[in-house]
Amino acid sequence: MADWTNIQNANIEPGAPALSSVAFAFRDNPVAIAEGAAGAPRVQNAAIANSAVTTLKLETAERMTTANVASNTAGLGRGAVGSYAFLALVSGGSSGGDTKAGSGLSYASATSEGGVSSTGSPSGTWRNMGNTLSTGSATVFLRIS
Amino acid sequence: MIEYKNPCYNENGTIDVEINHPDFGWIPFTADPDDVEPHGRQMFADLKDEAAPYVAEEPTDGSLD
Repeated sequence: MADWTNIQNANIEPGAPALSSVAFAFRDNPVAIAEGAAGAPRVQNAAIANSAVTTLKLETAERMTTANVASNTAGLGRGAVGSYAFLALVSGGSSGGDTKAGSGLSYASATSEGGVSSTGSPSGTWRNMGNTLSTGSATVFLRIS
Repeated sequence: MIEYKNPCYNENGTIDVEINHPDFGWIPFTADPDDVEPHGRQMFADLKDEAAPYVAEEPTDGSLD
């Protein structure tokens, strides 16, 4: 790996002696930038053309593949952002698409008698992914925050 | 820290607050010290001293004059 060398103005001003060390820096600094050497300037986002970075340039685990999305989704715990839950409305009403604070909801289950039982409120913010609800009824919610 | 307003304890001991989400705008949020998400636990820690106390709703007897 090439080292980054700061080239002093005094070494490149008119009349300055031609030093071998400066010549090495001219040769090695572009390599140091490309390799990300300590002290070297980093390539900024603006220097990369739009759509220039393709999937194959990413680590395998970071690619937006079906397998990775499915695996990461399966890795979500209960109550995590991005997870779904069957939740009952504690009070008030909720239309499909509404957002609700977790305290207004309760983890629910459908009973064998055809009703809904629920206990324990989730954290965060949830979006109603089902239909209009009244107090005590339940549907599927998605945690969005 | 994310922009927020109206933090208030609820009957569960967690804190209801409105947050200005970068993608969804102002949304209701429940900050919980036991949240599985770190940002929820952090928000509770940040708001626990300033959140308004919980005030139970007055029961209604269902009769109107």
